[in-house]
Amino acid sequence: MKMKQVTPLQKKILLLLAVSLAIHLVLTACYAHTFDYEYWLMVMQNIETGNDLYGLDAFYYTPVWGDLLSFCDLVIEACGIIPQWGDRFIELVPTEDLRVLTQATLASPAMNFAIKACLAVADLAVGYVIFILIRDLSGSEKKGLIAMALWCFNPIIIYMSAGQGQFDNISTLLLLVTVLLLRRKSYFMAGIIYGMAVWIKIFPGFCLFILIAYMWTQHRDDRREALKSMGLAAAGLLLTTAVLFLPVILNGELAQAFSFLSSRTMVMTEADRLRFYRKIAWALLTVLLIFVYMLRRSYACPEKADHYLLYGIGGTVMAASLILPGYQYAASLMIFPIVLAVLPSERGYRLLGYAIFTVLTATTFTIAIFFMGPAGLSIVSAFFGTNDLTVLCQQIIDFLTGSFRTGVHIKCSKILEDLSLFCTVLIWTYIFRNYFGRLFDWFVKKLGGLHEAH
Amino acid sequence: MKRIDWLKAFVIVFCVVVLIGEVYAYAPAEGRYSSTLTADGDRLTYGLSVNGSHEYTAILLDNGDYTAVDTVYLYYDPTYASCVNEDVGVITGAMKMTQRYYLDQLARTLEYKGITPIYVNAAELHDILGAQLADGTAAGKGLAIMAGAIPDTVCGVSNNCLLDWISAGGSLYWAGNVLGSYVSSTTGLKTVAGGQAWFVGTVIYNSEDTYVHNALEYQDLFCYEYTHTMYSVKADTSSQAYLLTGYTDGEYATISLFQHGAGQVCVFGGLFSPKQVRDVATTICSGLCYCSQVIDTHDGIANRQANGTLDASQLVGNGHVYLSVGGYFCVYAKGYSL
Repeated sequence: MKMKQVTPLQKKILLLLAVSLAIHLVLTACYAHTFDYEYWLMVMQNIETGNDLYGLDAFYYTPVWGDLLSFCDLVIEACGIIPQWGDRFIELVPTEDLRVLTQATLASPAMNFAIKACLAVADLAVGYVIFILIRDLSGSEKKGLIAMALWCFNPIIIYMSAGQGQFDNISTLLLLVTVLLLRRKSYFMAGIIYGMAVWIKIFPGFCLFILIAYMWTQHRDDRREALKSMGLAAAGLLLTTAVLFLPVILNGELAQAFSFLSSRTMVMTEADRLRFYRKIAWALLTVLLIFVYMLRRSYACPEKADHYLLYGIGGTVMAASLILPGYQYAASLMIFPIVLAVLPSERGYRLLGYAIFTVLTATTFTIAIFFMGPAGLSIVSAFFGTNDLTVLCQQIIDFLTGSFRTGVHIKCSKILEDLSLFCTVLIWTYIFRNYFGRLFDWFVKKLGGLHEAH
Repeated sequence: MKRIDWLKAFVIVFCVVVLIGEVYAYAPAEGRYSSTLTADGDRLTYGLSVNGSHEYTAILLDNGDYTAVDTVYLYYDPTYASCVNEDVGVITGAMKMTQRYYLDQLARTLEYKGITPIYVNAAELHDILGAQLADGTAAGKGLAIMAGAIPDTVCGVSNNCLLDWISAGGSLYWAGNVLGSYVSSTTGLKTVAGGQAWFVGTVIYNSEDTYVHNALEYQDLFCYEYTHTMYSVKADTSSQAYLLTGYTDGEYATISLFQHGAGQVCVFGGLFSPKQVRDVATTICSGLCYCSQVIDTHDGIANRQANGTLDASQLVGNGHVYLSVGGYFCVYAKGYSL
């Protein structure tokens, strides 16, 4: 049998993915966020005890990530390869007093690897999907590879999955797969996978209008077909929602599934709550503006509709992040600067994309590193004895209570918030310039017509 | 040959994975874990059947004259006043630790540790304690009060059946406020000066929200986690026999068990917390008491199943075996009174 030849492009892609995977694995082995991980293990513990996702305190998100953890639990139990899930280290107990998400109960290295390996694969999959999208839209494999590299070797992207063990990258993956499916006019499947994206992390929910606008412009000459495609997508979305939430509703746990939203406003002061609502209003207004602009532009220039879809999605997620800016959402936010850095033909926009990419990466990564500091060495120190735990405990306390860490954290968080605001202002400016520019053109044209008539 | 549509394949695989995960999460867990214990003279043979592979611990306790709990009542009466701080800070997304939610969490934790608790209100509590006092069946019964106040149906001027019930062998598990300082009724709370002394023989308690770091005896054996000691009793000022476990600063402990007649009073320090819930459930199910002595322990890895034999030749008093699977991420536990 003749072996299939590996093309140079495939070699490049494989090399990128392999190096990225290696970096993921090295980071997983050396540095780990302890807090989220303890909760992931508690979710699996609760499932094992028959208390589903929300019966016992541990899981504070909509169901999809819990279901994925449940599947991991099932596989781990079926294989029977990880007998020790974690342990508690008495030397690190004083760090729990700080209430900055440090833990003395740590995941075992095997458990740490088991879940993060899945997240690493998700990162690589996002990189590959970005490559396909950018290659297809730009017609350039080189641009596709650049975009893929910008994702796969982005320090904050690697940190969030390999270090912290957060699952925003899966949400990004599902959102991008939705785009691929819509481009192929697989509306029902797109609806299903979009439902998964929304119910794993809420950010993709803001992109609903953008996706509707895209489907509408895909069938701008046939409204019946447009409605049919939207109906199919909606059916997929509703089916996913029903399947995911039915057991939650039957168990009377709907409040727990959405407590991550309600509890945030409950702890706010009146002034903070007002500020929070103002940010929601501004973000929603921006999302609406993007939707209207995208719809009009896609209508006027249908061959560019796919470009507008990607810009629209990236811009919408960026605008939505204004509501709750945080380094942990970097995997969702990174679409916008990557698309902007490689897709436009104008050099100015590409430079702007790289600038946003650099600032976003630098600030989120700095916050992430300064969030945990030496506490990220807890697992490797405790299980492999690389550091004396009593010394490490003191280092963690000194670092986390130090003014330097607090200062850096506050400054970078402010930069991140300003960056989100800057991006929304940028979107408004861009759209208004285009509208008012064309209004000006129209006005000049009319004036010219009048002059000629005279 | 038809090419595989990788995109559709991915969608299908992802949905199947999520669906399987959902079914596994919501499927009944019966049959995943079980255990047996058989006695043959001084040899106690335990058997564990586990899902997958887990670390486990088998502990044999000598509890002297104390009878470990096999029935637990959870007191909850919303028509009665309570006196607990339900406004404890929780992490983003977590449910507020109200008395109701705390008891719900405790009931669920007790269930997978082998005890199905019974909710009782103030009137039912009076009837149950009275009946058990009358027929001498208080031993082996536990009562968890997490209301911060004792209902006047069992503790008051005319009726003090709670103390009598404990003396007759019942076990009181208490958290959320100073023990014995408040008596509640449908109309409000009454402060009882020095009420704590009736239960634990001292009035000295910790009024500060203190974190403590030093592990006490049995902390690691029973996987205790909570490190706060607010409302804890200064045990060394008590005239009653006691055992301290969990964590300490040398003065107060997170878990204090006091002898009271044939029964015991167990005080858990700190404000409401999920970690405290787990510690309360472990203490109840493990059969730990003020005079517990560990006679024999085994630990190891149960791969689908594990068997072993505990040596009970040193056992003098009432024996209690506690089997626990999963360590600090406990997925199954069961206590056996010998």
